[in-house]
Amino acid sequence: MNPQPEAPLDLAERSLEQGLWREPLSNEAHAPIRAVVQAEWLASLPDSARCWRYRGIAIAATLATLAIFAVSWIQPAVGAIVFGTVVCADAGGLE
Amino acid sequence: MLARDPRAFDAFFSAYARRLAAFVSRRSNLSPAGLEDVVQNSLLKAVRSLSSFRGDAALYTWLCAICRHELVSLHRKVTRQPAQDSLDSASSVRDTVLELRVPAEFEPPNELALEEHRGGIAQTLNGLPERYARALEWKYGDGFSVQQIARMLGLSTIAAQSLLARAREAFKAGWRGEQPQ
Repeated sequence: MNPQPEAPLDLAERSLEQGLWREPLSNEAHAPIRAVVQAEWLASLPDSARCWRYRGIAIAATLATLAIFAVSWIQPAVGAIVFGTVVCADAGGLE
Repeated sequence: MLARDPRAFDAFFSAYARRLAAFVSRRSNLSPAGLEDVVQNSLLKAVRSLSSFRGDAALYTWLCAICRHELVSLHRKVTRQPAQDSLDSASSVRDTVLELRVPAEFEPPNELALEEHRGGIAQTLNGLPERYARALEWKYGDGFSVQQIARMLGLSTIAAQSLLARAREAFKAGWRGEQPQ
């Protein structure tokens, strides 16, 4: 008969806690670490205002490109824009 | 945290900074100043590369991996330094002495006994399968709940409980072997 079946386990758990649990740094020691890490965290994240500005520029550029393509696609039906007429191509140049 | 939520940072720091310090303390004999450096550098690296964290591993496991790299590179740096006797070399002795004095509630003989006890525990844990040792460290060293351990290991709560029970049994067997008869 084992009079204390739970005792070895409790002892083992207590030993584990004593052996593994540590509180090596005080609150005072954590404070400067926290400040440095927090500053780095904020600096490393993309600025949301700047992010939206870049997003706005990208949207405007896309719209402008689409508008140019749309105009150039519609324009031939109306009539092509004549920039100039080639009159004669001769020996290395245009006249 | 990626949304610049200060509450998220608070939760992150209060959940992991102490645990990382304990993690480093269990794996090194660094002075408090050295320990602070390792913890700070690890956390800095973590917040810088937070966007690259894919969530495949638990956040704590990821932080521990960063911390382990930091310890390894510190160890390499120390071993690369030329072995010279100078006045500065006495600082390691001074650090050890300071470390012994840090917990004011302990007398040095008690502290030494505690260190010896910790050494025995570490030796027993090193003899266990890695999964057991890790689960016991998370439970008794880091204070994670069974549910948290289950999440970190990708197990159900019942499976994590069962793993912890088996790990405790294995530890008990090993610990009995370590104890003087």
